[in-house]
Amino acid sequence: MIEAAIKIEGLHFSYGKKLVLKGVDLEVPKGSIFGFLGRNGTGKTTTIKTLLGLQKPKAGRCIVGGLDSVTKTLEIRRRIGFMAEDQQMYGWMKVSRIIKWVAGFYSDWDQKFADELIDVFKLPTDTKVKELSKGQNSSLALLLALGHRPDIVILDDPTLGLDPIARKDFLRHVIDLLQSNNVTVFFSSHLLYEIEPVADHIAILDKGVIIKASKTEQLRESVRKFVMKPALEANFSRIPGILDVLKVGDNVSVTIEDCDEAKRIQLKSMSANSMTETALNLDEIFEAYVIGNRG
Amino acid sequence: MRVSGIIHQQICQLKWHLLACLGLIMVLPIEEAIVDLRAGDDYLSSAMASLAIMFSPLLAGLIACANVQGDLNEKRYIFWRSKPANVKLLITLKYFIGLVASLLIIACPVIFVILCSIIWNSEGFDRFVPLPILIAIMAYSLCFACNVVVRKTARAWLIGMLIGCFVLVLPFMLPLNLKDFMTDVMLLTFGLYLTIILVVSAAAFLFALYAAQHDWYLKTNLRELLWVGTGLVFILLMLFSSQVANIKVLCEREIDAAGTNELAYLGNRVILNGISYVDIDNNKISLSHVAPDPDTGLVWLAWGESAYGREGYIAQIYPDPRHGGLYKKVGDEVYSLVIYAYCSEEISGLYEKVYLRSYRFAEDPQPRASELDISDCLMDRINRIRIAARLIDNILVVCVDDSCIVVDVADPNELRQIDEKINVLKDVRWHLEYEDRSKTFAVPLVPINDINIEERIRLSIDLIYRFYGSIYESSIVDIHDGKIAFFSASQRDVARFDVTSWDDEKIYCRFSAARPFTILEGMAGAPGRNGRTFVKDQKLYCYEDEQLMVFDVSLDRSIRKLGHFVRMDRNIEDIAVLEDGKLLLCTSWSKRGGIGHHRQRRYLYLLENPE
Repeated sequence: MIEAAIKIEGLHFSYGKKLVLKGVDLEVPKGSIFGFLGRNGTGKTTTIKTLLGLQKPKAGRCIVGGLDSVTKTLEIRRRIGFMAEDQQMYGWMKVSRIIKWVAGFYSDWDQKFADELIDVFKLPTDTKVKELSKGQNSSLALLLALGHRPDIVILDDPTLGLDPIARKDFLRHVIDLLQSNNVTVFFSSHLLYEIEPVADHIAILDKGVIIKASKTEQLRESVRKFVMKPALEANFSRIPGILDVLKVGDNVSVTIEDCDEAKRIQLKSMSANSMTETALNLDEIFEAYVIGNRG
Repeated sequence: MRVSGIIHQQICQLKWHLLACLGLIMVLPIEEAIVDLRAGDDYLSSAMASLAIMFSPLLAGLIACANVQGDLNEKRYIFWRSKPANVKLLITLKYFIGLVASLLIIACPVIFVILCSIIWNSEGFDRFVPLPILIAIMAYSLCFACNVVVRKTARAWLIGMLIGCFVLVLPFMLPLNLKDFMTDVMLLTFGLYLTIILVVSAAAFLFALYAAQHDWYLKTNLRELLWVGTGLVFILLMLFSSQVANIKVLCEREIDAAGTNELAYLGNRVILNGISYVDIDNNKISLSHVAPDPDTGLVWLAWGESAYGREGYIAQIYPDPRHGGLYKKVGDEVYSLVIYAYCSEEISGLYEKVYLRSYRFAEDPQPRASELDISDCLMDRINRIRIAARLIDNILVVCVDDSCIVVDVADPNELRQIDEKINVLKDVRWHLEYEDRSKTFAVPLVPINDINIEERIRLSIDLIYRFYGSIYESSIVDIHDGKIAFFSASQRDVARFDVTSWDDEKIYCRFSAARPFTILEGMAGAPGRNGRTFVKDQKLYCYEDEQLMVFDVSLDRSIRKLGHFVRMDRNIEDIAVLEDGKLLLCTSWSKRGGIGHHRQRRYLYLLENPE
C-alpha cells in the first residue's frame, strides 16, 4: 500500500451558512505531483487552508505528513512548503532581507540551497520585493517555500497572473527541483494545460466534493469520446459512466469514463452506422466531468 | 523563530507611520514656538503641546492599527501564517514594539515642553497630562485587539475608540455616584481609573493574543458598522449627559417683565423683580403680586422716591433697584431697606448725604417707614462711592466708603444705629486680585463686634473678593464643620481658599484646591471673572451668560461638579436657591429682527438641584 503524504477524510467546511466543502475525501501519494483541479470558487483554497491548519474543519480531518492539521499545526508548517495564490509579501523588504526573515522561522533552513535557488531564479537580492516583476515575485515565494527543503510542497494556483512564458518557466523550475528529490507536490490550479504535463495524479473538485481522483495517465486512458449517428432507440443514460452527451447535427458525441470493451459494445449497439473513438486531453476530460450533459 | 528579525521587521514596518504621527503631534507646538519666537511676545508653545497630548489617544490607536495591519492584511497574513511562526510571540512582540513606539511619539511633546520650560522659562505642563497618556495606552491596546479581529484599519480604529469611550464613561453610568469627570476621575477615583485603564489594556492584549492564535476574523460591513456606531455613540452621550451634565428642568415659564430680572429672598419666599412672589407648587411656578397694584413693587416704590428726593442732587441707590432688593418681613408687613447717596449735580463725585431708609409696603402713597442719616461715613473728598450692606438677622451692616455702620432693623419703622466705625476699611482695597496660590495671604478683618466672628469673616471676605457689589444677597464663603473657606471662579478653574486662622485684624488664607474647567465647559462659556459665584448649603453656584454650574464643596480637598445647565440662546440673569433646595432661574432670550426691531422674552426655570 502506497503511503499517503496527505490524507483528507470527509472534510466539511462552511463560511457562515454557506457550505463550501461537503465531504472531501482525498489521498495524495508520497512523492507524487498531485494536480488539484477545480473551477474558481469550488473550494480549492479552502481545502488548502484547512490542510495548513489556517482554519478548522466543520467535520472530517486532514492528515499532512502523518500529522493532524488541527492539533499539529505548527509541526505541519515546519515540514511543508507553501506558496499561496497571488502571494503578497512585505513589499518594503529587500529580497535578501525577506529571505533572512523567513529563514528565522525554520531551524533547518538550508541557506546554501536558498543561494542556489537565488541563482537559478536569477533573483536580484538588493531589490525591494515591491519592485520585482510578477515572475520574480512568484520565484521568490517559491524559494521561501522551499528553502527549508520540505517533504511536501503545497502550491495554491502558483502561476496566477503570470504570462504563458513565465508560467512555463516557473513550472519547469518546480518540476526540476522537486521531482528529483522525491518531494510530494500538491498543486492546485484551474489551468488544466498547465497541470497536464507535470501532474502524475489528478483530483477534480466541484461544488465542494471530489468528483474524480486518479492517476493522470489512467484518467487519460479511461475517458473516451465516441462520435456516431444514434439509432432510433438509443438511450445513452443507461450506460454507466456517461459524462457528456452532445448532439452535433445528425451525430452524437458521447464521452464516457472507465471505458472498457463492454461499454464499447453497448455504445456500438446504439449506433446507426459506424462509430469513431478518440482520446481526450485533460482539458476536455475536465470539461466533461464538470459541465458535461449526462444525457 | 528569530526574535531579532521579528523586532527589526516590526520597527521597519512602522517607521513611516511613526514619522507621520510624530509630525501630527508636533506640528502645533512647533508652529506655535516659531510664531512665539518671531512675535517675541509670550511663549505659549507649552499649551499647544498639552493640547497635542490630549489627542495622543487618537494617534496611539492609529499606530496600533497600522502595526497590526502590517502583518494581518489578508494576503500577507497567509504568507507569514503559513510559516511555522509562534503567533503568541509574534503578537506579543508586535504589541510591545508598537506600544513603546507610541509612547516615544507621545513623549516628544512632553520633552519639547520640558526643554522649552528650561530654555525659555515658560510654563510647564499641568498635572492632568498623565491621564491622556494613560488613556493612549488603553486606546492603543483596544485598537490593536480590534484590528486583530476586524483586519480593517479604519473600522478597527473606530471600534477601538468607541470601546475606549465606553470604558471611560462606564463608571459614570454605574451607581458609583461619579459625576464630575475632572474631580472624580483625577482626584477621587484616579486609582479606580488607573485600574480600569490597565486592566482593559491587559485584557485587550490577551484577547488579541487569543484571537490571533485562533485566527478569529470578524467580517464587517462598513455601512452597518457606521449605523451601529452612531447609535451607540448617541446612547453613550445620552447616558453620559443624563448622569453628569444636565440639571433637570422641572418647569419652564415665560414671564411678562421688562428690564433685567431679579430674584430676592424674603424669609422663605422669593420675590421676582420686587413685584411678584414666586411660589412653587408640585413643580409648577406660580406668580402672585406682592402689592395689590401690580405696577408698583417694593423696589420700585423706593426708586420712585429718588425722583422727588432732593433737587439739585443725583441719587445713587443701593441695592440698585435694577439688580435686586434687601427685604425684611416683620409680622405680616414687608419692608424694603435702601441706602441713598446724594451727589451734587454741579460737582460730579462729591457725595454730600447718605441715608438708610426703610419702606413699608402699603397702599399709603408715602410708604417710607424710617430714615437714618449715615452721612458721617462719607469721606471729605470727591470719589467714586462704594456701598455695601448685609442683613444678618436683625442687624444690618452698612459699609459706605471706608466706614461701617451697624443698624438694628428689628423694627424697620424705627431704624436704630448701634455702632459706627469710621475709616476702618481703608485697608480694604478695591478689586483685589486673587492671591498667589503658593503662599498664605491675609485679608483685613472688619472690626464689627455686634456680629459673630464667622459672620465677620464672611463679610470681610465678601467685601474684598466680591468688590462690595451684591453681597446683600449672597456670599462666596462657606462655613461648615468649623471650617471656613471661600471660592473663586476664573476662566481657567474654580478654586478653594481655606481660612487657616485669624487675629483681631487679619484673616489668614491659603489656596487648597482647584477644579479646572474642561475644554467643553470652556467652549460652553465657563464662568469667568464676569460670572457670578456664590455658596449656599455647601454648594457653589457659578453662572455666566448661558451656563450655570453647581459644585459640591463639602469636601475639604476637592471641588466636584454636580451638574450644569446650558441654554445656548438664553442669558441667565439671576438665580435663587429655594428652601427645598430647588433652583429658580431667570433667563432672557432676545432676537434682533431687522433694524431697530428687537424682540425679548423672559423665562423662569425651576431646576432640580443636583446632588
